[in-house]
Amino acid sequence: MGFLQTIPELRQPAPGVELLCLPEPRFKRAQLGLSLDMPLDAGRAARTLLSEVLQQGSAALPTRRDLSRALQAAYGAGCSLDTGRNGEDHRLDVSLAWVGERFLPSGTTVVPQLLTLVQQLLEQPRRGQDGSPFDEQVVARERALLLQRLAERKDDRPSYAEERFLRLMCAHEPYGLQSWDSEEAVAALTAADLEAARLELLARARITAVVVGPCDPDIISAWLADVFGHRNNVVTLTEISRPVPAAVREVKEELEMDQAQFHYGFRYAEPSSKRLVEALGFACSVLGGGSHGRLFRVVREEKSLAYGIYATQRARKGLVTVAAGIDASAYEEVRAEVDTQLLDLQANGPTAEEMEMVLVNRLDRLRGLADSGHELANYFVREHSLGLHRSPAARAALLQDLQPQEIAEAARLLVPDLAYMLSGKVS
Amino acid sequence: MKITQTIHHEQSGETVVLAESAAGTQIALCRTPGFSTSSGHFGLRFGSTDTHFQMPSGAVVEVPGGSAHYLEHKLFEGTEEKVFDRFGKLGARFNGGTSFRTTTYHFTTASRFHECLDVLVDFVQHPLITEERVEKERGIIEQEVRMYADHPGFRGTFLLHEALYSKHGIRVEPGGTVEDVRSIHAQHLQDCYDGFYRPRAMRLALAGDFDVEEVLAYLEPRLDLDPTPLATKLYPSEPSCPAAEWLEEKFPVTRPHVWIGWRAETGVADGRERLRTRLLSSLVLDLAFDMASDTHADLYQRGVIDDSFGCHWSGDSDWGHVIASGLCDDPKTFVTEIRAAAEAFAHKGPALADFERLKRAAWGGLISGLQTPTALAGSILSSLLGEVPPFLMLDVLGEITFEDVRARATELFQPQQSAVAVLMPSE
Repeated sequence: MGFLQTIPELRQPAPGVELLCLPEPRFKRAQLGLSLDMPLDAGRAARTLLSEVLQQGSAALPTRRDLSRALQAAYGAGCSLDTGRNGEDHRLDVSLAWVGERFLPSGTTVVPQLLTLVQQLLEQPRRGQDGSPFDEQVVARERALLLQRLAERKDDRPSYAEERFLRLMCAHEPYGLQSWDSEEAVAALTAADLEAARLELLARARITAVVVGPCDPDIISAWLADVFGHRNNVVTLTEISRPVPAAVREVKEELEMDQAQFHYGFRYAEPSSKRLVEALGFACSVLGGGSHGRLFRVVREEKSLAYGIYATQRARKGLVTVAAGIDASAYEEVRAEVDTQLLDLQANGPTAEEMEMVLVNRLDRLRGLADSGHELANYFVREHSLGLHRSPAARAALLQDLQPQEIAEAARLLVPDLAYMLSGKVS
Repeated sequence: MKITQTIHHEQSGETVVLAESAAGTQIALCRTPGFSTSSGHFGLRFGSTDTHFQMPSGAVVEVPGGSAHYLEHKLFEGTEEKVFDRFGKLGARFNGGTSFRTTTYHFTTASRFHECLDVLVDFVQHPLITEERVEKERGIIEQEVRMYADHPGFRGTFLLHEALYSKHGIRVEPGGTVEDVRSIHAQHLQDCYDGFYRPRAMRLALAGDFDVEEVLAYLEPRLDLDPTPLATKLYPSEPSCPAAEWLEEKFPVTRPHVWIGWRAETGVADGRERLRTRLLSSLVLDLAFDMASDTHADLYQRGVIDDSFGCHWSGDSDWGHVIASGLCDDPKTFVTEIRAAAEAFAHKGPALADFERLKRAAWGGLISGLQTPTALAGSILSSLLGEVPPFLMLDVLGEITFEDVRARATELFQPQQSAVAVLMPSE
């Protein structure tokens, strides 16, 4: 099989709404994702709680039980809302998935009722009995539950370590902000705040929609036009900040835990060309892109210091981060090894074997992504957000043309910023 | 190599060819025309609970917990070249997994299926286990075990298993304890391999856009013909009642985490019946406690449960139990409420409309899970290791009646078969 040659059709069914269309009749399940982006402003606490409250029911389906029953009746469809930070924006994601209609009894359709269900959640939420915008009891309950979950996030030590690391590394940038603002901000929220946030979100959010699988994009396009067609004041999102660190920092924090969590962050300035962007991704893969990465081979396979160690590129922000679960006593050795391997890559570039191994792996992923709705959507949404809009075939051609010295040049863009460890008490 | 059966499954639209090698290895091939990726899953019914067995020679062997998992790691070491490197050069995604009763190895590739298949059957069938190689892996596996040790969900589940069972192997996590890992030697792993990794025990599932006859011809010289019989597994006799009513540990969590278990029958030997028991039990649990149920709505509104609550069925040939778990402020109240709700549901029984809606949703979930070649091969291997034909779960689900579910509901929540595990905050 070759590489996918095409890019998805991009439609603009409503002001500030872009729809990526990936109709794919081979798939058994279709999925629609809506990402509603706003700045990481003071309204983010309300939007975070709003996503929880909206899922408690609509005017038509007034309880979570009613909503679940409607989804079950649609042959096990799924619908969820979630919020978080996306780059330096605040994002509310609406996800909808359903079984392709060719598997349903003849003449059965579920798409219209599912789109209506989502529309009702967003536009006609369950109101309070006294005419208030939301049921006060529901707001109070969901607010308490959200605060509880925020307090409990420490229980997941690896995730909490990553959160702390990014907050410290990007302390004075929107990227370092908590997507829910603060516990105090959440605690102060009222039903009126949520209604204001809902109205602002629907009127002003910049929306990226992607539909993948056995579904007619015209139906989705028409629906988006119906829901969002009246808007005229869509928010302008700011460019992401990419400061250059003055010097490498080190922070160690302690929490009761067994395995220590190690993170090491690097920054890079905006690459001067699309080619260099690709070379940087390649360099990241050479360093720690999987079991073929240098760090995996040295830190795990040669020195047995970690079960896994990986490097991740956060392309919009211009970060490369390395993470591993280690014994706290191995911190210096692991950190030194990351420095050594990166310095070598910057000075000498990848070996011929590394070039071949990383290339074949990246090409295989590009060839294979046409088989997965999730991967297809992720690929094209990333291309869209980076303004690159490349087909897998075009990207593959570029990858195959990259030279070792370009990988080294890209690696030289990486500037160490913060080495971080969260561990149990170190004696 | 002989083709034994061709199964065309109407509901999923998939066709599987079943074949058997001269030495008894069972192979299933599923063609997926138009898909870019191909996948191979190779496994056997030998897992972490198989620590005591009698070799064909008559010798009785006992190995430490975690041996099956350690052996899985060692197979990835290869003989002359690491399996990481062999798959890495081919650009494939690969991994392995050890559960209580099975060990599996798999790859997915978008370009070099035959070469990957060659690597898969070669490294699983031709290991090199030496003391030096075993020693080298110890630090890596120890880090893997410690990675899970910080996870409250993982620790709590095994604490509940300790409460439910006195001697059963599922009391210990598949990777074993750190002490187990430190006590494993090459001879333990060689005994496991010699006792169970025999052609007649191996199952191979393949999915992709390939020629079935050609793949079978390619495989024939690559599959071992060793006729040595398998070792006999020896399991301890398990008392019929839980080992403890209530076990509690301190753990670094914010709020108490609670697991309630109910043992059911002592296990189901027949594959088809075991599958039916699993589906039936899962339906009952969803009817009793999922978000569409009256019980869930009531418990959620009263603040007894939150979104951390969940329940599932676990069972095999010699165990079967329900687990319900969640976070709470007061474990005793939580346990009392959940037990009362379970008993009330068992007494009242489900409603017909709920059963029909949920069955439809379960069907949609099963169909959706058969999307990619990777998912198909994984599902097919799971069926083979479960000793049932591929896709039988869809047929069995279709056969389950309302009366079956009503009857099963009365069996699942026996008070005398229940036990509790609690992780209390340590700070």
